[in-house]
Amino acid sequence: MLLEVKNLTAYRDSIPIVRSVSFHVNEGESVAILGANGAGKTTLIESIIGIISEKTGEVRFKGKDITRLNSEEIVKRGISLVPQGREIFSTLSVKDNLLLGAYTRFGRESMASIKETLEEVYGLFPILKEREKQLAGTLSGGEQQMLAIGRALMAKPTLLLLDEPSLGLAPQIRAKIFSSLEELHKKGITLLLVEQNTFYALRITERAYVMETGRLVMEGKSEEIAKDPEVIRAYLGREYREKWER
Amino acid sequence: MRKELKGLVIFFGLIFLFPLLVKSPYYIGVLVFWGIYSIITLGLTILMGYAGQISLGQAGFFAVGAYTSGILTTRFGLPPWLGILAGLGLSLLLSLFLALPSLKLKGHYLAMATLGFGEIVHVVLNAWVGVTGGPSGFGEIPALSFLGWKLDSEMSFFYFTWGWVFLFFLFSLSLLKSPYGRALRSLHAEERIPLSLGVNVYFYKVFAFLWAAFYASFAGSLYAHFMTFLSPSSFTLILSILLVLMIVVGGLGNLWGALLGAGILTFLPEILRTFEDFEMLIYGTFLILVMIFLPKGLVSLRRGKVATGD
Repeated sequence: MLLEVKNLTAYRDSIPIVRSVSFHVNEGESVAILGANGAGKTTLIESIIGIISEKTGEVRFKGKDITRLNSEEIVKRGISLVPQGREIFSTLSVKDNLLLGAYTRFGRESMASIKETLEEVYGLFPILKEREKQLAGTLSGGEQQMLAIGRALMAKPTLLLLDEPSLGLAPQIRAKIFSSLEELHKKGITLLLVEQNTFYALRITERAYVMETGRLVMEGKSEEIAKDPEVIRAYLGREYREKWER
Repeated sequence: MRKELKGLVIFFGLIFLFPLLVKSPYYIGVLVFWGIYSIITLGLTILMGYAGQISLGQAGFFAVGAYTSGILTTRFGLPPWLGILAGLGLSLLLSLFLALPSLKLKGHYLAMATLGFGEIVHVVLNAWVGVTGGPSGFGEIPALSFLGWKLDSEMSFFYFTWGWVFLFFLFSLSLLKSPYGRALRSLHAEERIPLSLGVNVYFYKVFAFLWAAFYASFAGSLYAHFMTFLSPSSFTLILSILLVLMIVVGGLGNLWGALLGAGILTFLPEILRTFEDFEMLIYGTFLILVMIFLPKGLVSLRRGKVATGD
């Protein structure tokens, strides 16, 4: 088991948002956490990576307890986050944004190995190489999302957390982002994807959990969840079946 | 970086040539003040422009540098260099005490905490008469010497000060170009973003605060040994606000902006003095116009080619 979360309760301003959540992610897997806006998905993911420290329960990564570690330590151990809303540094160049992603590796690894990762990211998203010197704020929405994913990859994660990577993107670009995630998964990176876009999320993941008002209410193989009448009614809508079969 | 170095060489070349063309000690004196304020603003722009924190207490650190060095050299006969170092040490210590609790505050609350610090320093300078000389201050602060060269003329002090401005500019530039500088610049975003990359936000905030205090303190010591007289009236809240204004007018988050803003707001009052009654009116109008038409400061007039790639 790569990531194991046990009875995690996480708070924002002392209000419990995530309530006693337990789940796990195996090495090499890709897992989705689905749920409507306000279900607590972002809080869950931010408490895993240590941005939210007000929490009880246990988070274990590679068998070690990381519940009380700060985000710097957690990133060093191999978890990276692509935050919601992209949140790239608009006044820095594309390259500086990417190098910031490797922040925890400076001083511990050689510049050559960081540059190697940079080339890998450019290989995955060639447009970023073209725009290397441009200010990140001048990129389009889709390119910014690629940059946010590339930035997270710069830390060389074993587990990549993605918070709503498809939010606010045009359908074509969304498809492109999801196909690059599939590519990453094939390369061996474990993915934990938090999404409102249930359709895509279920297509590219192996297992999924459904979250409602801070609790996980359903779990199963993505394929099976996609057939669950309750999920269809609540998250996918009527026309989805045709779309799915296509 | 090469482009920036070229800019640096041209700019400092022109500055260093200035006294050869204009020999008036008055103007050279004003240039010394420009240099001293530039050192403070180069530090402050790291704190405010890059790390996104606010300080309305820089006059306090400026005063600590000035008084520590002034008192130790005048009353205890310490060599000025030791006085400067003592000032730096004390400023770093005070800024650490101030930063650790108050950098957990944000925005207006941090501004208030730093403002409070500046005011406390000001009150101490006035009240601790036995040591600081109280409101009437004290004089006869010895001049600095550098490599056996006594810096007792405007001209010599001018070169000395601007030599330091050059060095401080280079320090700041190399900081910003390093991975630490990039981390510092990430603080401008919402806190959870740098956190998600493993950047220790709190550490960098404290670091930027100490960095700015260090610069202000050093500038204060230079001021003490240049003026050879100190009184609390030179270290008021107005100065702290003026320093913030300098980096805003010049261009927040830009090293050139820090130099430019300090220069303009040092020279402007001198130039406007000839307008007598209209002095403040013109000064105020200028500031308003800059804020309306150049909200990113005067450096935005020359887009694209500014230090640190911003």
